[in-house]
Amino acid sequence: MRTALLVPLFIIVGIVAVYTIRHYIFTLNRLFGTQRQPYVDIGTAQWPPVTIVVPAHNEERVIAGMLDALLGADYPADRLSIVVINDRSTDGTKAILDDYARRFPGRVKPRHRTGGRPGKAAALAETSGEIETEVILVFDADYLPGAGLIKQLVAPFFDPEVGAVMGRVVPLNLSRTLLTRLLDLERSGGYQVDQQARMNLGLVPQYGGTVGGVRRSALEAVGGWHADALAEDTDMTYRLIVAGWQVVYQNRSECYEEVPENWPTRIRQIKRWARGHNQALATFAWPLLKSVRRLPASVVFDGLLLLGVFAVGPLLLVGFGLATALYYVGFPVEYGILPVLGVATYSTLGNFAAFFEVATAARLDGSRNRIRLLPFLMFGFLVSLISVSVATVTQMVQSLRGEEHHWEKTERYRNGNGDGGNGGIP
Amino acid sequence: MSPWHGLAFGSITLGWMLLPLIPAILELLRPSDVAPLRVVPRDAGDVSFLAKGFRLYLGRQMNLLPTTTPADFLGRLPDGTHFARVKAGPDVLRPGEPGSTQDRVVRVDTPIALAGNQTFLQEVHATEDFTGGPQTVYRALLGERRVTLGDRSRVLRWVHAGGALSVGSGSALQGRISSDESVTVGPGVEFDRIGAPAIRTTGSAAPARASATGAWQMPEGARRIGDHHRIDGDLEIGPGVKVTGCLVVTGRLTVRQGAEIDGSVKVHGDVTLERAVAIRGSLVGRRDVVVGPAAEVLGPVIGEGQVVLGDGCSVGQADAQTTVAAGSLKLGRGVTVFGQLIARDGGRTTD
Repeated sequence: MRTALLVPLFIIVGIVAVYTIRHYIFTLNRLFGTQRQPYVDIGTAQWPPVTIVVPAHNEERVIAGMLDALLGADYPADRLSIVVINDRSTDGTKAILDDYARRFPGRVKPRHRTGGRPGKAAALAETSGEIETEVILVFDADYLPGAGLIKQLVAPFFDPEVGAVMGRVVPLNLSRTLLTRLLDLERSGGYQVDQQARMNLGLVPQYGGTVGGVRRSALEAVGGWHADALAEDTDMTYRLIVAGWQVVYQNRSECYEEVPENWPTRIRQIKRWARGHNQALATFAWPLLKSVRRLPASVVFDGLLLLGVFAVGPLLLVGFGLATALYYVGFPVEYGILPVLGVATYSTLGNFAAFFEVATAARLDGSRNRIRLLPFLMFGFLVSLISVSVATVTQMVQSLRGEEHHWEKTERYRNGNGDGGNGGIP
Repeated sequence: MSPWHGLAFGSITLGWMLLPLIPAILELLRPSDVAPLRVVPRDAGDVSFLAKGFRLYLGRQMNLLPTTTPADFLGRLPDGTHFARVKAGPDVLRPGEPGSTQDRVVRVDTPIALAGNQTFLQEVHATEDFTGGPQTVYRALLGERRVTLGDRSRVLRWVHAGGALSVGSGSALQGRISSDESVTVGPGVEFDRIGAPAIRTTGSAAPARASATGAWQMPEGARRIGDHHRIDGDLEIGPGVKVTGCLVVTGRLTVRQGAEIDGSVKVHGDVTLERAVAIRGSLVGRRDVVVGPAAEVLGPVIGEGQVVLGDGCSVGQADAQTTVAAGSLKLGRGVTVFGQLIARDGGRTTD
């Protein structure tokens, strides 16, 4: 009995400790290591033709602001076209898109989907075959790219090994609620420290599905977008990595986004991410392990850890349960294990970013006072832990029953808050 | 232990635990840091961005000056900045006085040639040809026409010229250096960022190279990935051969004299291009990159370590400008780069 409880607990503690060490390495790298952003300084070049794809479903509140931002981009107008995939919107999105298409013929190309499988992955899969440019950038409809962002995101594709590029996401609506402020901290940690450290160390920066792009030839080489992927970004990241392409993260390529303003929306979002990531874990863990002869071992190892980030939540809960069970059945856990589990828990999960990563990120961003909210991140951590665990268990049950998961869209806010549509960009 | 002791102990423990929450609660109740992070502003990567901003600023200030302000003027701009305008009498700048320091924004509306050994602690705006003397220090200089910086000049922030910009030997150029026409850099010049349709170092350009015609076989073990070939380990491309397609080399790459690659190249190790090699795409090196004499690269050159551009080599074309971005950068004589030079840890021309 004792062994049956202790062995899995030791395994869980070991896994969590590995994640903790990983976060320490990342944070120390950002503070003291060599920072890699080799492409971001390319300001002059023969810029290739680019297609910007914007999947949109009921985006009447935000789509005009997005299109205005893209049309104002510092990029040769004759080499930039915008394809907005209107995925069965029932609000005024279609009318807005048609109006832009009329005003900017050849530059804004709406594509109205009226059938087929719903969701971003399906929309991208259906449309990518019609895109002829070598570089494809993808933005969600609530993002507000700055004028110089498009060139920054295209620049890495001058490197023939780069299959995908990812920029940094910066919350715009952080002043709304405690949740938006906590998400702002989490995003800082996740991008400013986690993603950039992975870039610095030559590991696996993740293509995040927005504020980024893919090379068309790479996309074709790995079989295009998969319509059944719950997280098409993670799915694409791993298919590219396994096939030998590189994913680049650029911390200075920043773009504003809206984060969820209420907890139910946030819970739905993180559950969706967890399901997508877990699906990717099941799909790519073995192919990644098999590619250890072709890829650096550090890439394979980090790739596996990144695949498993959403599996750590349920593991932690199991670990808590095992430790408690051991105590009450009369086998107190030896000194050391519980503290390690507690400390590791504290510093491992906060959605994507660990707490000390967040503190470092706030320091690197030069925003001193927002770090005072750090203790409240514990609430976000607990919500994430439970949500991810519920999503994982539900997903396993659905999988066993052969049920299909349905796409859930994140709620938008802009204009509804009376900010005139620009979201209050500073 | 009495119940009161227990209560006190519990209260102290609770208070100790809540201590870190006090700043959090205060920040929640009275937010002091809720503005979105400022993302990179428009044109932050434009080498001439600061010069354009200064031109706008000075134009606005001068429009506010009284119309009776004399052509040669020592005074203040409407915002209180100390200001000198030079039209007929360059004596305002005391050009012959060695070691003189000018602590004013200076506007020069006449062609001028300074004797040198001066320090301009504020910006200089020259609307006509400007020739600086040797050993002159500039905070920033905007010339609407030709600008010549004397030997051993020092620039602290930026220089922009509407016409050709020439930099004398032994100068130190910190910050952004740009021209709408061309920049010619003398020997022994240190720099960070230079941008112009044509950037040249002094010295004679290389003669036109002959096209490569030799056949080349992809090495055994090379894998086709999308639109490029990946070669694990080191690779040497022989002299005079022509390679078609993009390459990714995980080791070191050596390209022998006169060879040509019709595509882009990415190398994880060091790169050495020998004399008169041509690359018709971009060249990306994770470590050091040496571009040999008289070599040509058409696309961007990106080196995370040191990049050396040998005598007479060229990057980009007059009608296809590009960027050389490096950790550190060394330029030989007669080098031509069409576009931008970015040296994050500093660049230098050969002495």
